[in-house]
Amino acid sequence: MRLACLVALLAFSATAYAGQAEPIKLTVGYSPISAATLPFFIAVEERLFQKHGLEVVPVFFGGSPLINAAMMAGEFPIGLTGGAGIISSQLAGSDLTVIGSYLQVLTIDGMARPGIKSIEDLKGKKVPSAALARRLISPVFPCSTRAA
Amino acid sequence: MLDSRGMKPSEVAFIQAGGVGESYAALANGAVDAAMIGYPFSLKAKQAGFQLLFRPPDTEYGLYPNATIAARESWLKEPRNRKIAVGFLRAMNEGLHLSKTDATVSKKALRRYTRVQDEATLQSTFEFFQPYFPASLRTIEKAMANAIKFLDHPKAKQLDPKLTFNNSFVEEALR
Repeated sequence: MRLACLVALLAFSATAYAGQAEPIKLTVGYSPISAATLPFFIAVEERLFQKHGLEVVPVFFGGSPLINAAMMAGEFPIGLTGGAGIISSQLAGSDLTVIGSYLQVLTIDGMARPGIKSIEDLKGKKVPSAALARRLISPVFPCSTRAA
Repeated sequence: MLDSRGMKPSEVAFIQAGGVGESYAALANGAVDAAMIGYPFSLKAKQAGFQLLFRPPDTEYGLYPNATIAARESWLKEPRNRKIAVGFLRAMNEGLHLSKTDATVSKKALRRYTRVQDEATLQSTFEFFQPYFPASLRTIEKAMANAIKFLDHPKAKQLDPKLTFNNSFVEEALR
């Protein structure tokens, strides 16, 4: 009887061991190293990918264009990247597509010196021309840079 | 910001500054009267007494695909790869939820990856981004449409935003 139980236990263990599939190793390119990438950092740190059968190897890249180029070259299948770069890539003929988004707002604020109480007060005033900020201010019209 | 008040770019003087750090420096030293600046410079500006004039997330201009998960359609169409993508999104969705709800886990991850150790900075970073992370990984069409609007490309105007993303993987991940 004891021998039968032992054999049954060993057979069950072997079956259970064989059923545990190896996690699929997945290299993922990401950028930037900042709080904007926090959901991914948490998923790696808390081993959330392992729960879903994946062994993720995060690889930092210096910017979205590099990640997109690496995906197109077949270096890795999934990348964390800016949506605008994906759109540019699509316009250039690539088959990259966005399958999820974890930060979909512009996290920049319009700040002014004391005395400027409204946006209308900016008439005739000076603002910096950082490229994206300029485009945000004028989504339709391209802006030219002028000295004060 | 100007467009939201019906103003034209020609009604202000733009000064070449560089990135958001340089824009903050220009605001701080009085070289400009206002600037669009990102965290942590927006926090520094607020602490230094500058006024909040415009917060894009509170308007139609604020939606923008800042951080996305992308893959090639040719890879995704294989059933095995679809399963991998869905599994990846399930884990990311859990990470997203924790980034909005768990300061301890968030700060632990930030400490490791950003090398920032200061507790006050980590806490304020968590609090800053918490409301900005979305409830789910579903891509919002308006965000992609805004990004298309900002692109200087001759074909951009003809591009249908719906063609730039595919939410079917997230929908399957959330089931």
